[in-house]
Amino acid sequence: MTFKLDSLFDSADKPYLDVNDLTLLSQYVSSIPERIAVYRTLRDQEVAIMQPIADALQQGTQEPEAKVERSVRHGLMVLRYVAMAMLLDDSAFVQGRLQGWLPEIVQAHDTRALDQQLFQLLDQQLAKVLTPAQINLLKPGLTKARDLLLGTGTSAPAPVPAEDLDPLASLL
Amino acid sequence: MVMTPETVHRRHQKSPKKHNHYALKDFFQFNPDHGTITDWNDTRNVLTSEDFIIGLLEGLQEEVGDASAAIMYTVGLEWGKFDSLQFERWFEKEFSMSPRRANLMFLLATWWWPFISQGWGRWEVDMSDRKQGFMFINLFDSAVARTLGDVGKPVCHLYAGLFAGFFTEMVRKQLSCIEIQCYSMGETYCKFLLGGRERIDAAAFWMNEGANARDIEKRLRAGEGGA
Amino acid sequence: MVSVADLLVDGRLPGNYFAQDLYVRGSTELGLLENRRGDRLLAIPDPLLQAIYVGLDKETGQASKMVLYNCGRWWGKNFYARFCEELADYYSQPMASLSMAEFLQSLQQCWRTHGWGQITLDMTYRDQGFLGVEIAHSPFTAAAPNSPSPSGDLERGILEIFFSQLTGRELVCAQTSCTTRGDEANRFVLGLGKRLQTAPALVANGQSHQSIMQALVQQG
Repeated sequence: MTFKLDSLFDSADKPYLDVNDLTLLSQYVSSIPERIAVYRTLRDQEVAIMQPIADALQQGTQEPEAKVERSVRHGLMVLRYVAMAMLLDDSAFVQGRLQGWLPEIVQAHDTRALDQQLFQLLDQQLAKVLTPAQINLLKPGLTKARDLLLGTGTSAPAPVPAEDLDPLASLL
Repeated sequence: MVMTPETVHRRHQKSPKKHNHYALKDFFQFNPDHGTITDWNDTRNVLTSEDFIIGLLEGLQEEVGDASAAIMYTVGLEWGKFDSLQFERWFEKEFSMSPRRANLMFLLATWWWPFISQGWGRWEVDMSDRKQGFMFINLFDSAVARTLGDVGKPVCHLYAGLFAGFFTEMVRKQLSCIEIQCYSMGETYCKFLLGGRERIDAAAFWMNEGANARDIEKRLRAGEGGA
Repeated sequence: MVSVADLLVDGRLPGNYFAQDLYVRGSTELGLLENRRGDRLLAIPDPLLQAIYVGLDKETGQASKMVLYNCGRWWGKNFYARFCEELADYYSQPMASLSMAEFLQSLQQCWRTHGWGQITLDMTYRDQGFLGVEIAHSPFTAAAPNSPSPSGDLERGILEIFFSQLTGRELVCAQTSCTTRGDEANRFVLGLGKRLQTAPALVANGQSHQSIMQALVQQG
């Protein structure tokens, strides 16, 4: 994690922070009450936000319930990381937690199509509980998560598909 | 290691003169795409449990028996030599001065800081006998001894070699080092004696005869053990 | 129907256990590094790895490959035990019931977070009874001197014991390509001893990974 404001404190060799640094700092500080409000909403309404998404996913697909459940887990995980990233104003946090992990899991369990729908449904749900300005605070993290998961611009090596893996124990 | 834009330490590039950079998140840069770790001085690092060092000892024990202690010392010596070259390079870059012109205590503290970030334990240098040509180093939480536990003899040969190798290069005089007290002998910390070969051989002899660290210190300060 | 509340019974959503910012912790006050369970970690800098190769070669000559291989086996045995224990604790279920995808992703992430490079399993020769492993950006062979024969003895040891314990079979591991002889990555093949009997000679001949694999597969 590289907390954005760290770079300000990195410049401790300078006698004082300059105007730009201070503007950055005060922008962040004044946005904290709003960030906490958004974080509280997501935390307290986690189930209320995600249950309609789970229901809609299930209704709109022929996929087995276990797979839908997996996708919902992905959604819950993403939202938690996005919420934290928003609180810290640091979308690299999302990348740190998901990269090299969730995209590969998505591929191995073949939940990409479901996850894609889930992101759309998530946008709709968030619009119901948050204001557009509040959603903007979540945007950087959400975009990063979507890009990572749905493969826009990932260069991760293709993992072995799940069905190839199970015989590993009896392989040799 | 060849540095690429992915592996070069970006924070260091951004703040080349930042001295206080030994916290975990500053000192190490994780490069997730390659699976590599670069430290502040652009040296590659590998994280392991203590099993790696113990595995090395076990692997040696299997092949060469009790000579394993001497070989770990040789590995340490080589490490100290390689490290001194790197140290000179980054010290000069960071402080715009040759380490040879720096205050000795400052130089030593600066040398050990990366080892603290790398988890090798804290140290304390006792230079009161420097004029007599020897000095003591206390090491807390030795990675080797802490893992092996109480085995009744010194085990930190790797550290002893590191000190000997590094100081030999820095003072351009052949130095040796011996561990005269070890956590693995039931003590609370490890103690090393650094000095000329003759003195270290004498200390080794006294230890074989049953002397402890305090006896050795006393005899050295009384002028025994050669010049 | 999927119940979100049921998914969150204990509030936990096991994710990327080995994520670097969660897994590695350090205290400059104590000069210690540890993992998220509080087990001690050490950062081995490149000069020490180089010193291990040079020092062992000086003192033990040819035997140094054996020392490193034995070290890898010892280290690997303990690594396997810790790895299983950590994952079982984290997922609150025995390792055996973990999905293969989670297991493999964890292994890859664990490898990367420790700075051991990028590990990939190659199932191409699965039906012939061989498991391939590729390691790119290996720090170990990067520190080894150039050599016409493979130098990944540490990794050979760790992989051999790791997969032997995982599969419950006594496996043998041979290295078929190595960065110290100019290959782009280290490649290893694992299988039962009798099926890999010819491998050391093929490797010593300086054959490529592909041709070694072809010869191994053709022996039937």
